[in-house]
Amino acid sequence: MKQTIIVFLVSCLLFSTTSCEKALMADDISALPTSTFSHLWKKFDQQYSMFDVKGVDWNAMYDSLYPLVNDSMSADSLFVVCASLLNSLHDGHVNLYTPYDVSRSDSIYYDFYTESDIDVNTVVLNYMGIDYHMTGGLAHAGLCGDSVIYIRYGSFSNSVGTDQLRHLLRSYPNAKGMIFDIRGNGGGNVANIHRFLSLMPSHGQPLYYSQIKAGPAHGDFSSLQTTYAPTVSSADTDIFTRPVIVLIDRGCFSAASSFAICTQAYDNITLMGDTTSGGLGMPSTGVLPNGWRYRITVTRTLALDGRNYENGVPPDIPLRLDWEKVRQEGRDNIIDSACAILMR
Amino acid sequence: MKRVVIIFLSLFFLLSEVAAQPISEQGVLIGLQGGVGYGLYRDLGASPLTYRGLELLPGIAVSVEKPMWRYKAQLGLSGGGYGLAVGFKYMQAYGGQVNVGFETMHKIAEYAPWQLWLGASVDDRADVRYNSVLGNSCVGSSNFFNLNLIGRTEVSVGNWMMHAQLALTPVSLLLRPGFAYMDNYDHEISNPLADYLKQYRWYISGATIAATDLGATLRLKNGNRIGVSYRWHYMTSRATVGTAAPYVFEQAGHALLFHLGFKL
Repeated sequence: MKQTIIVFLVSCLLFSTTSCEKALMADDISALPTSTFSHLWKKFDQQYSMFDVKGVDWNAMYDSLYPLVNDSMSADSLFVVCASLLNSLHDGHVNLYTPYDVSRSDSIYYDFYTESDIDVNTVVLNYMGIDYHMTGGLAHAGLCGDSVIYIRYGSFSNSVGTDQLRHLLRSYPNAKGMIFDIRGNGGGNVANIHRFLSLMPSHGQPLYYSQIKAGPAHGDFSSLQTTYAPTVSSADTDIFTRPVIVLIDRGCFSAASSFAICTQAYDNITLMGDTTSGGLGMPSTGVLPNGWRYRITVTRTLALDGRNYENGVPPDIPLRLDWEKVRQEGRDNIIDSACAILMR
Repeated sequence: MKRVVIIFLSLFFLLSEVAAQPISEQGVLIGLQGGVGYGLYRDLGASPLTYRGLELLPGIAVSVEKPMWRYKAQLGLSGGGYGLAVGFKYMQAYGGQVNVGFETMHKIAEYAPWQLWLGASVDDRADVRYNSVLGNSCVGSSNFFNLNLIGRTEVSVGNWMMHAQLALTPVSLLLRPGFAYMDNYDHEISNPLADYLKQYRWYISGATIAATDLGATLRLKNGNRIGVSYRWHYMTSRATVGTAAPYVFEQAGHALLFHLGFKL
């Protein structure tokens, strides 16, 4: 019996020696500033999907910034260098998150504030009226004696259901057209694009094409995936077949730009305003060896015309807001122009 | 909850009449498992860091035991919260795994009180690892279908049975994220699941999976059993197909498990 127990205990000891996963797992990457910077650069070099349209020499960025990094530098200083690296991409979906600061694309935010073409006070007070309606995430009112449906959608993060949208349409039975105002819309949930488009005449036509990064080279992408318009039953009476004008500006980013390129698939939708800020790729996230996190664009979207509008979707009818008219007359010349077109 | 567990265990022993004589090892058993563990993992597609945390490991199994053969179907869960301190920041992540498997063992030798068993099992492990940054997340959800080879030695001392087991996985069929991980790539809203899977790649791998199990079981007169075991496991997936899935996914864990077996 004693011998049996000894043999068993020896067996246990042998098994226990296998319980050292540290010997099997590779060491963590160093969290020193040089390793962190290099890791960040390499991740973007391999996974970022927009190098072809951003015009950035990524190797040159490494060569110019890496000499500024050393392992004795402070976290603040490292953040500045890493943020400089990422901001060279001018991509609103690219961020560096640290416990005390967040980097963001300065040019995208600059345009958002300086090139905005909407004055919400004017829209609410002089067009919608303070008693405008709210259906889901949509604010709406009738213009031109309810002949034009005006819908203000400030963020694609605001959910709206298909039933709510149909209820909205039924509220304006005599509408000749619709203004869908997404100026200043910074994006949100792509699913809301499809909900809105389900109100439009559709036969399941292609909307756009997508690719995801599939390898380390800048041109390594998956095959094109086609996104189709939501199919609408021909028996459905809650379909808006009349003209729709979508108002856009430089404040439109991400899902708002995606919505803008979807309009290419609809004969009754026209884009009016200024070129959007783009942001058509989808972001993912990752972690750096020092615990900082980053956001990175890993897909690209091509419009039906085959072009990548990552830097901005142009309008069909270019028109900038006349701020002088806003201040002096309280009028939004873009809404006025859209109304005039729809009332013809 | 504590009271329920005490009553449950008391009834278990009262009804079992702990006996000192040998009992038949044949029959059908329903097994319940509960345990706590310390786990660690690293998914290089999402993070270069190794996350560590406490895990809970409940499970249930049905076994059929014959003199020379054993068959077992089992469902196990494991998962918990993970994290690590980096600088002055604590990184939090979450993960879990569902394990469904079938195992068969054959007694190849017996030198009383020793028994030596060899067998094989197939199991499917669905695994999700998650960390988030504001509105976006990085999710590595993987699936491993494994063919495992198992060696087990048992020694009986009175009503106690002690065992040591080693399982190795020479072949694993993996479904892992592609080159770019992401969670919100919903370009085909009409069929989000199919869309999600398009980011993934199937491949057959020689993934290294090893597990050891050491334990002791008290066999009761009525055929029921109660046991405790220590389990260590390690898994690494480093396979690539072209450049589709270049990221290492490793996990390991130590667990203390408690087992109850009810003979039907």
